[in-house]
Amino acid sequence: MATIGDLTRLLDQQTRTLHGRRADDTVQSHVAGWLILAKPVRRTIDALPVGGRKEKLNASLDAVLRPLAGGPRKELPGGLVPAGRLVDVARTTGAIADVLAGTSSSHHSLGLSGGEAVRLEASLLASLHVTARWSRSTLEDQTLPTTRYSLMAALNDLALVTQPWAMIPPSQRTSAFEHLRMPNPSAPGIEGAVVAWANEAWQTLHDRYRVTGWVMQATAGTVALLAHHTREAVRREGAAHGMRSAEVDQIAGTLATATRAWREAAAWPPGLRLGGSTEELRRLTTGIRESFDAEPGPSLDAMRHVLGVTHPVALLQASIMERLVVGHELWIHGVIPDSHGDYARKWQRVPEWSSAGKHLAEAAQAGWAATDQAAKALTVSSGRVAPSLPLGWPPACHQAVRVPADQRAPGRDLSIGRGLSR
Amino acid sequence: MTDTTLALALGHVRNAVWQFMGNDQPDGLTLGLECLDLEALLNPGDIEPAVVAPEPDPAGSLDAAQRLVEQIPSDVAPAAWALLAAIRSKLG
Repeated sequence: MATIGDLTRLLDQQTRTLHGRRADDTVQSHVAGWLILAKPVRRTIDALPVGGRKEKLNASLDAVLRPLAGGPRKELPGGLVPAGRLVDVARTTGAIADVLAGTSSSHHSLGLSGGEAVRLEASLLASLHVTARWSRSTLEDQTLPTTRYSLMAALNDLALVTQPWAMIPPSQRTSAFEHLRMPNPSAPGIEGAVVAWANEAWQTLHDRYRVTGWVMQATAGTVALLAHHTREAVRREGAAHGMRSAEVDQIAGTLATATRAWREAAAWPPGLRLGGSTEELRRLTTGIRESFDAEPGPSLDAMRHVLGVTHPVALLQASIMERLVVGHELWIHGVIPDSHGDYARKWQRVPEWSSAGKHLAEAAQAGWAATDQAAKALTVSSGRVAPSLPLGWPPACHQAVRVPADQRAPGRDLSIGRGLSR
Repeated sequence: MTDTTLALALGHVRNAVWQFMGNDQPDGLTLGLECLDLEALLNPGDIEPAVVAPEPDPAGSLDAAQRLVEQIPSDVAPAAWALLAAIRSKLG
């Protein structure tokens, strides 16, 4: 699954190679192209947590993009094919917007906001600046004055509004957002196993009738296992990723604390329980262990991603554990009187006066605090973001062969890149 | 009788989980998770586990569990036998 870093590199490559005019670069094809491109740009800008009052900060940009996204007053002719290179840029920008929207819940919790968002905005708007200038240059010697002049004016404005961003050197635009990618439960290896597990654990922990002692122990133990492997990956690859030695030590130390605390939270004494069974979560928990057995030593990029995916589950486990203890919802094995007045050892709800399980809740809170600290430090660490995919990805970047409607074979079109003609 | 034996076996497996998670051995975490898996495989019907005196170490707890489940083979899922054997072989 492509990271935002892969997509920004692809966008950069797509815009750097924009030059000259092809046969499909007509005024109307560019109007249609900007109609498609302006929308994902606005979506991306909206999704970036830059802080402050965004509607005011982005007012001038939005004022230029809105008419481009709205299209001309006069309807475009039917069958018009949008300019191919604008469509490519739009597709990549749309993918960035999708990843931002799909990971929005973790932006704030992972400390991704403010300056990091501004850097990504700079990457995007610098590419948009180049695209606007190129698009304008292709229209200069064409006729159709009314449309041309209104589009040229909009492109002039867009190039001016985005110029300051384009002046920021690329080396200053590297953002922690570049680590982000859409969680994919079908991904091979540890990533897919953890995403599927985290989805199921999230749902199970949210359903009070499915929360059991086993679920709480298995969740805590799995987070401990992931923290342990992330620590190993930081130790192994941190320096190669450009992390400073002190940074590696600090993050590895925090992850060791997280592992210890989560292990403690998973060590329920045998005399404490909460009944029930959860087969699906058991299967997915086993899947994570098997992934580590099959591919020992997963990469730091992979572990950074899965720790981000685990982050909300860890918080939920800690808060549910606190609720179980505070609400005396656990069961304890102890001596209680029966109906005949005799005493026997049985399972019973934790009495009001007891604080049984408190140490487990405290361990989970400590585990959460360390996991949170480590996940944030890993996300915004000085380490470089290694490309996870080669340039030229994805296959949808290849232009689909467009066949007129009356010449198409009946049935579904299986071409990957057919989206825009539909 | 069967439920009582299974409850006792479960008690030993729960002791092993507690002992593995609580020790500071590097492989204790993985073995603890495997014992949790075993507990779930042995107890699909959610019977109440017995609380039994812990053996000196997790290996002792798993040996005790093995002896008990051998008395009720028809009540034990095939996957549980394989997992129990795998954990015990890792302990040597």
